[in-house]
Amino acid sequence: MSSQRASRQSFLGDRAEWTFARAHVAILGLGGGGSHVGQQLSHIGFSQFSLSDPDVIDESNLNRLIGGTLGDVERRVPKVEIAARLIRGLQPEADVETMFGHWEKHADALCGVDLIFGCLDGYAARRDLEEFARRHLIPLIDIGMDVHRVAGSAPQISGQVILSMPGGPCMWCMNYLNAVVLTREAEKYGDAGPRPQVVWPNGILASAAVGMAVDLLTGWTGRPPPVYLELDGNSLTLGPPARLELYNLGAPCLHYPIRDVERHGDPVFRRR
Amino acid sequence: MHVRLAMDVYTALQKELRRPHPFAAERVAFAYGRQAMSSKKSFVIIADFDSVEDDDYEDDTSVGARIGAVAINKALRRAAALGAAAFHVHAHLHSGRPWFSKTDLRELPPVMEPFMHVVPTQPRGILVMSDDDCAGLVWRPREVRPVTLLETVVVGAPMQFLGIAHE
Repeated sequence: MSSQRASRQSFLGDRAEWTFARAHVAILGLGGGGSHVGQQLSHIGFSQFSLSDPDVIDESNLNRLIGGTLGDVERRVPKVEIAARLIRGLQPEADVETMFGHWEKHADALCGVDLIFGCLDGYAARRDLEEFARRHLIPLIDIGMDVHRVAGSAPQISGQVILSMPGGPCMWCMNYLNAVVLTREAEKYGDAGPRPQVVWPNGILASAAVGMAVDLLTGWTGRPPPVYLELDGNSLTLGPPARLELYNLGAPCLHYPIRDVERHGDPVFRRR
Repeated sequence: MHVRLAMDVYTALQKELRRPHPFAAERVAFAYGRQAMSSKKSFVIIADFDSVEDDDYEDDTSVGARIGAVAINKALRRAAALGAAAFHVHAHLHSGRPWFSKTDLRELPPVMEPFMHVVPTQPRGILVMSDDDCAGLVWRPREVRPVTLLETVVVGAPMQFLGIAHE
């Protein structure tokens, strides 16, 4: 039986409403992408959240941070508190845990969640978060966007939504993570400057990520959610990258073997 | 206490427990995992399991399945080698919430008691699976009284949330 509030989404199944209320989701990074995700999940009916972000809002965030106001900028409100306010405005009874700081400092709180939205910047941050999620058997949905400047042509907006599912292909299997991009990023560390960010590509990516999550939790489409969607922000298209066919994604993930007991749970020290 | 396991492992375990045995009415497996503690709950991530080999069952018609010392010693050695939490797992072939029989509750806890000494830092437990649900008793490290398993999360597409927490 669905509530009046959920009546327009009853096609998601009899247990969907219960599942959304039951599922504990973490959103790590509450900027341009994560703020969209929190808003949409609240509309859908999710009500258990753990939110982490180390920043307060500033004026440069107002072009894209959903829920942020001029008053928040003046008061230097943490982004996690803006997201929590938005969620509670839609779900007053929601259990919202705000963690002002980098997510690694709150790993104890995060290992019990059912689903993580990774809205972080950088490849190394994604590597570390995927390692954590796989160790604790938590599905991770990663989103990110970028703007590339190429001399003589229009700036190119790109982005990705990746579902890193325990037992399924990881970001290394999909070649989204590799030694080249990590090394290049490390060499540029501290020299990146402010990266271009705009609201609408983040909205597209966040919507796709939320759609993946709803499918993952309800199975309403009757088929597995896609694992990798790539955004061409100039043509406003989102789809599987053509190069994905080059990788054998049906094979077991060798980076995070699902049946390796010692690579799961809290790390332990053992005398041999 | 909660349990989390991947859909592939859950499906393989269910299939194994339904494989006919030459004389035993039920099958038994030992599942292995590692504990994880969050600030709100503690849980065990089950990553792998071993079937009890056909020859390691004893022919005893008074119970669904009786395994011998050889099977238990194999499981103890595997748990020790992995430093793992260990669970005795069997199935009751029906849908809905399963629970242990009186015989289960009398005979299974002593089977798992030695695991406390082999891997004292990890939980141990007994699980019973139905066609679509799971229940269990779990002994936290160094504790002699079990707690009831509240929830089993099967991580796959779609996710499944099983257990008494959802009654």
